[in-house]
Amino acid sequence: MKILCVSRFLETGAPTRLNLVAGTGAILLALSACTTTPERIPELDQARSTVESLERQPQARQAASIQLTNAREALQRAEAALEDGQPVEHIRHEAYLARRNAEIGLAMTSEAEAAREISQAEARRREVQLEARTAEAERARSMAEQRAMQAERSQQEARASQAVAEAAIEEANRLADELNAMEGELEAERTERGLVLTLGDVLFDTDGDDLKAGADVSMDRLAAFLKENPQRRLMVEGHTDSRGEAEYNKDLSERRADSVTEALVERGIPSDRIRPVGLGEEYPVAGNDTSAGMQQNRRVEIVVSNSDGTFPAPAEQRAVAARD
Amino acid sequence: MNKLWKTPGTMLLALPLAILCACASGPDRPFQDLARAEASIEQADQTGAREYGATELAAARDKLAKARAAADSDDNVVASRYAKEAAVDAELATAITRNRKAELAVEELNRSIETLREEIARNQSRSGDRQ
Repeated sequence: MKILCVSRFLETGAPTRLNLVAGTGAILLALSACTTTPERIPELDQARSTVESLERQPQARQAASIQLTNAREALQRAEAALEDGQPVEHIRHEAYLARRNAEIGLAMTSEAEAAREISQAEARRREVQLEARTAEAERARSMAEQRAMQAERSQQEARASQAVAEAAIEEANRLADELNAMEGELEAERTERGLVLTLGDVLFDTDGDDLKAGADVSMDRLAAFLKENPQRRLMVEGHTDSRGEAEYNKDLSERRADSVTEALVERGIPSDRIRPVGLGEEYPVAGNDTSAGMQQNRRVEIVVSNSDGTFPAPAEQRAVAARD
Repeated sequence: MNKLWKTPGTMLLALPLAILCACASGPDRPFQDLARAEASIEQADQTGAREYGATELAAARDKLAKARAAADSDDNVVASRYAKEAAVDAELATAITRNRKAELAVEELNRSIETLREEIARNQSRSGDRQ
């Protein structure tokens, strides 16, 4: 159209210098006139841009192929009508159809995208649900496993501690039998303080702390026992009756315990394996109202340690109380 | 008068006149365009366009009415244009409605997944406390 206008002007224009200037101005005028001549139809511009934006959608060809075709064809008809100088109403109408078809296409493309998202989201939901169920099952399984293991462990522990207890009882019985089988004034007894041997009053002088010769056999046996059981230790407890001052009695009981300790050290037992304790009149085993009872109370008790060298708690408590 | 019609000469004269008349009145009533517009509006209505494509649906109805009026006054070119535009307006109303519904479904689904995740996280932290 522009080219047509310009060429038409050139045909009529005279090539003189003066006219050339005028001609140039005229050309410019004609040019500007030409570009504005075809009426601007905003509906057509809208249609072009809407069809373009549909064409830019990668999914449009699949999701809205008919609408895309319809829009393009209507736009082509509108452009052709413009070229042919057809009535503006007709151009507007075709442009309208083009724009609407493009808009329909855009909506359908967007819907297809939403549908795709829906199927993805559904897959994701199934995944999440499956994960949750798997995690739940795994948790239940591991909890059951833990419980089973715990049960197994406590059963084992119970069995083990029963075995230890049985072994300890057996060992204590063996020791008691061993000691009871020995000659001398020794009597082994299993108590809550452990295995306890009692040396009777007759082995000491009255109010004295020297061991009589009659105790030698017992001391020999005791030393032999300690040598056979090197992991065992002895606690030697001195006891008295309630005659006299408590302080005196405590002192006496200490000295008697020391005497027994010395006798064993003389027989080659390291002193750190023997622990003398003076308990005085605190722990009578009989009434102090008869001479027979008092005689029973005057004694030395020897507590045999556990196999690890420690003493059962009740014995340890007595020893600690006596020191204070 | 009767006599005149019965003569073959008059008949021969009337026929081309009738044809000419028809030609002058332009295209026929655009039945097809009107029918398509009606069907598209019906479909938009059924899709639920009154909720999400109300503007487009109203435009379609308005243009259909104009198309009918134009057709009734034998302005069939204008009637066809209005009918065609009514049809695409209604189709757009349908497309917008379907798209909006699909988008709402996506939102709903994403919400439900989020809820599910939160629930799972709560369950896990609860069982974590227990251990």
